[in-house]
Amino acid sequence: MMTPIIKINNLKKSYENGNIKALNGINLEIEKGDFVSIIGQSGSGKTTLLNMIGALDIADEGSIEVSGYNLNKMKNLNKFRSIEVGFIFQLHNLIPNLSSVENIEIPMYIHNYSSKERRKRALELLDLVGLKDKAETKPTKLSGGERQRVAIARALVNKPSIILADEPTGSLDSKTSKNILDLLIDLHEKENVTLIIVTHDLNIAKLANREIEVLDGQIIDSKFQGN
Amino acid sequence: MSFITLIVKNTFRNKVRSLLTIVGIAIGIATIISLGLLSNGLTSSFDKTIHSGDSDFSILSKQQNETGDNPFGTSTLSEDWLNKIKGISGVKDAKGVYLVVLLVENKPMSLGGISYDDLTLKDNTIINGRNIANNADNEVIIGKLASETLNKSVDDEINIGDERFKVVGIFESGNSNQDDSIYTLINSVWKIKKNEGVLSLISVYIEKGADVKEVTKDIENKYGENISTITSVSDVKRIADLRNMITGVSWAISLLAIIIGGIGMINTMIMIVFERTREIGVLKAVGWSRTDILRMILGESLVLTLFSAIIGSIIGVIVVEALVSAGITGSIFHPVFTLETFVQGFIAAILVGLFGGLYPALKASKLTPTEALRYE
Ligand SMILES: Nc1ncnc2c1ncn2[C@@H]1O[C@H](COP(=O)(O)OP(=O)(O)OP(=O)(O)O)[C@@H](O)[C@H]1O
Ligand SMILES: [Mg+2]
Repeated sequence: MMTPIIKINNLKKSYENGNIKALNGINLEIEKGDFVSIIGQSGSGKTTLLNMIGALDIADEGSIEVSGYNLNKMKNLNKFRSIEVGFIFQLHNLIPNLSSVENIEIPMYIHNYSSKERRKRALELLDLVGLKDKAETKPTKLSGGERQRVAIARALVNKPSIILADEPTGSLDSKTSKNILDLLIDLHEKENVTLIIVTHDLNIAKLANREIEVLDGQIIDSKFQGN
Repeated sequence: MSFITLIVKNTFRNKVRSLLTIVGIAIGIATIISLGLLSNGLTSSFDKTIHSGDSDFSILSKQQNETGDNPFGTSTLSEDWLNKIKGISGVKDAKGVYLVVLLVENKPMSLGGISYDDLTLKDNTIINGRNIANNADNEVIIGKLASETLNKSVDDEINIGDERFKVVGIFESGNSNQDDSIYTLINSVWKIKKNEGVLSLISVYIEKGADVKEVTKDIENKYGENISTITSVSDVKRIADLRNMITGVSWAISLLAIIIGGIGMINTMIMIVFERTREIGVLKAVGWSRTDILRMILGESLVLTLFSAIIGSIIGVIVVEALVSAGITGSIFHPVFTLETFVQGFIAAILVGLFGGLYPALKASKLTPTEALRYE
């Protein structure tokens, strides 16, 4: 029996003075190294759940423990984010005036790297996502798929144990989507990172070992699937 | 890429806006620098006037007449004070000086009337022509700057008051205040001002081995009711008042420049934070702390103001030089370039950067990551 990397118990989160119940009692355990997809209608609470796991927000009620950190009680959430998780968003959210390699360096400033070490590590990651020759290119000169690759490299640069991807292929065509997913799955397998993907695409959801469906802030279905 | 490089790159992301902000603040800094340079010049002009002729100290009358046409007022002493001062033990010599500012060929000029003995001190600064001959009360020597301003050279004639004089020599002492003046025998100035026997100040030379402090104390004890001794410019109340006033006005204008610059800075930085809300959300998502964000935004505003300080210093110097060469500053203002003035400019710039950047930086650092990321 493996120990869960994520343990969530009766987690609740509301917005607008309690009028919007984004999460309404979530119970969830995710094993280390797993690949999980989260599906559900728009507004069902998928992003909110992902944000909770990544400590971008604090719960109103319930408990959440990730990689052994109790996120309800933790003070330096930014520290946790910088070590444990890597985010990938639907929009790449790269900094437009910085080159690919400089964008990948961004998460490393909070650690004690020298300039040289930062550059070296960023180039390694760029190589890993197959964009070695685009190191000095700015995001505006990259294709959508290439931008998302840079964003993936940025998410991985601090060696996180969990990757949280919120509709990472939401704005890409199906062929590019497939490439990006192959890359994510490949990295998940090679580096043994836990991968959680929020998606609207049921075909993508099926690729995961486990599929979770959210509705009105609650988990209504959770099935393990072989692949 | 170092953190500093990141900050500098961020600062110039929107080049036009950054440039406009820099120019706006640079004008404020230029104001501070040029005011500083000019008021420095004023002070040091006075200082050098008092020590003209290398005397040990000077004596002024205590009776002030505020309608003066020279920086010392028309506080005047009569000639018989010379003998009284010479009678003090330790005093080697005392020379009368009569300084006035008047229009020469329609330009305000300072005219110094000094004794023949004092004039000879200028022998080795004569760069053209000769010094005034003894008792030649229709001759003047003019400083190099004054000769340029008046466009006069050796053997030219100039009108001062109702009198006609001949320029017999041009001198250059290196002290811009003196070099922008005209010197002649004291009798000639008395004639021009129709004010026989009047002195603006007395320069006192002391015996070798005598102590300036002792001698001035003796004089103050004996004649303190009527005259005062001054060893530096800060002793002169009238000048001290004027200088304080100028310093006060400079400070007020500088403060205003800082406040206006700071408001412009707040505006620019708020825009920047607003535009980069999503990006700040991403920075938080990848682990940046509040302090990291604060450092970045404050750093960006400091970079803007440091560029402003450099450009402002350059503009300030150009403006001052232009004012001087246009003759607007008159004969008593001469810019004196001190490191201090530029340091003040840079401190002002840093204050604008901190003052203007702090609020937007705090605002940015307090954004919650989820809200920043939801921002469209
Ligand atoms: N910061 C916030 N302030 C106010 N309401 C919010 C906030 N974040 C989320 N919500 C609301 O909470 C609910 C769940 O939002 P969430 O973003 O988690 O949905 P989602 O499942 O990711 O939807 P989508 O598929 O459209 O991305 C929605 O009704 C949303 O409007
Ligand atoms: Mg969402």
